[in-house]
Amino acid sequence: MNIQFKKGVLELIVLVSVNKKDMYGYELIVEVSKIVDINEGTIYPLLKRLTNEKYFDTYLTESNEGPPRKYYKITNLGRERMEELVNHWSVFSESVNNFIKESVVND
Amino acid sequence: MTKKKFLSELEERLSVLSDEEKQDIINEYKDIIEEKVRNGKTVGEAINDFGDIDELAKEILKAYKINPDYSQKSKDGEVLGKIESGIRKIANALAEITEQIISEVKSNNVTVEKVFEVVIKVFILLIALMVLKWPFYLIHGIGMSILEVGYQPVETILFIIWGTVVWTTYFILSVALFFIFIKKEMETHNNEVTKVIKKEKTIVKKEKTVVKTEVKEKNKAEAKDPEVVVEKETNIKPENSKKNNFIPNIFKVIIGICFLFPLVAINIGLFGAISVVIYLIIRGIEIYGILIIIIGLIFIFSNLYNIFYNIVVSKKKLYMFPFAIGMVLITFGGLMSFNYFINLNYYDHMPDIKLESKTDTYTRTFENELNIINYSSNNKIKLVADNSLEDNVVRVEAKYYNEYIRIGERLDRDHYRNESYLEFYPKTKWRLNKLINRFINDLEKNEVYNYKELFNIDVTIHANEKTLKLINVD
Repeated sequence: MNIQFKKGVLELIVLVSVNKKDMYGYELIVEVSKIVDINEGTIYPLLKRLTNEKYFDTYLTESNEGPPRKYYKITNLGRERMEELVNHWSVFSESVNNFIKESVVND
Repeated sequence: MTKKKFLSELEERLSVLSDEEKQDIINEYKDIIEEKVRNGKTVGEAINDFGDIDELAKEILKAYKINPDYSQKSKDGEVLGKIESGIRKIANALAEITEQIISEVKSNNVTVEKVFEVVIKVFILLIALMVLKWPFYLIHGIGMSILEVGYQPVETILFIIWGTVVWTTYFILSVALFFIFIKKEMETHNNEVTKVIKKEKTIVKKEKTVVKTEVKEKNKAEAKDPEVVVEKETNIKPENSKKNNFIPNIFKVIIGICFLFPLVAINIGLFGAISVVIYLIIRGIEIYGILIIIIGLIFIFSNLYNIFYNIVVSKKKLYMFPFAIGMVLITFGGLMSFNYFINLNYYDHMPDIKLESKTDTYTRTFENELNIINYSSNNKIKLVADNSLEDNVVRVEAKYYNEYIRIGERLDRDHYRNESYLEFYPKTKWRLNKLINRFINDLEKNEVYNYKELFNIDVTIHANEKTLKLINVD
């Protein structure tokens, strides 16, 4: 998969993941890596951006091991953004899939 | 790289951000590294997972909608800072290279082919540097012909400054290209290594998925398989994108040589001129107007440089006001120096001064024909018959002002055309400072003389009548 492609989908995956439950940075990486193999370096800047754009809120929680963790929580604005992206994705993937199916049949 | 070093380097690259934001980011990364270490990774592995630190910093800055190139420049705005960071980068690069070479040799990753590849690439680079020298010869030549004002001692000073500027720039460019080459070489090498690692990873993944299918989830395994294929495609991609960049890069290099380099040269030249003017002012010649004009020119040419720099390298904010400031300064300075120039008397000859002159005598033998090459149109060349001399022998007397110059003389034989050439040319005796003092003394009296004659040579050639017919004067 093309890097730009991955980056585009990454935002969607991160939004969906955090929507499911509040997460801290490392947890998110583990979660996202299950779906796409992507350079970790690109995930934190993305989190930063999503926070700056008010899609995420952050809060600190004490952890049993080590220092307190910074959790990311989705905002209403973030949820709207997620729904928008999910919509785009469904329409897009469906049309691509249909196109491939038709092309293969025609072959 | 240690955790501390990684964090401090990251912090340095993010210095445009406010302290609070920076601290927030640094803490986040610190936590992640610690978390990974708790989960069984080494610090080195955890840091390597972030990829290239420069790319990482760029991505973070992009999240703040900051142009990463701009931030780096404004950060190291001062020349000293730039030099310092440059040196640090070079030192880091060298350290990383040696580190890598040692580890490579240890892990037997270096093959004979790879060494050959590098050697050939270095060879090509050296040839490229030689080819690059040609435009510099051209620029040097063009500059020389523009600066040929026919007016001493200014001309000699200009030639010296111009030569230094051109060849220093060439030298710096060569060194810079060499380092860029090394960095690229390292990057591609790193990519190759990571590719190998990635391939290993995908194989492991495949095995895992096979196990999974045996246990339960057939569907998931199928979903993962296309990803493995996809992984291989990504590996091919970077080379393609490199090719696409090639043509605009050539365009940029051409702009760089045709515009950026002359602009840099002009700016350096202007700073040279400013130091000359300041020196003259200290010596008591009140040319403040010219100083202001030059400062105005620096404003204008630096801004022009910025504009072309933007075209070639990156985009940053452009300003028009330096042009306005420059124009105002030039006008103001021009008005100020107007009076000065009106009061200045220019004489296109030397002042009436007593100069010591010297006559050198040579005897030379030649075959067939002798061509006398006249170095300067002001040189006087006289032919005198002297039948006491033997055939094909000339006695040459060269008279010149030995207080300021010495002369060079060269007898060459052109074997192809079967002719001989005799040439005289002035060599400065490094008495230029003496001449400059004279020039400044004249300026104090509001007088400017052309000392070109000082470099002239009176040549008298004695030969017998038969031989004289074989001598041509150009």
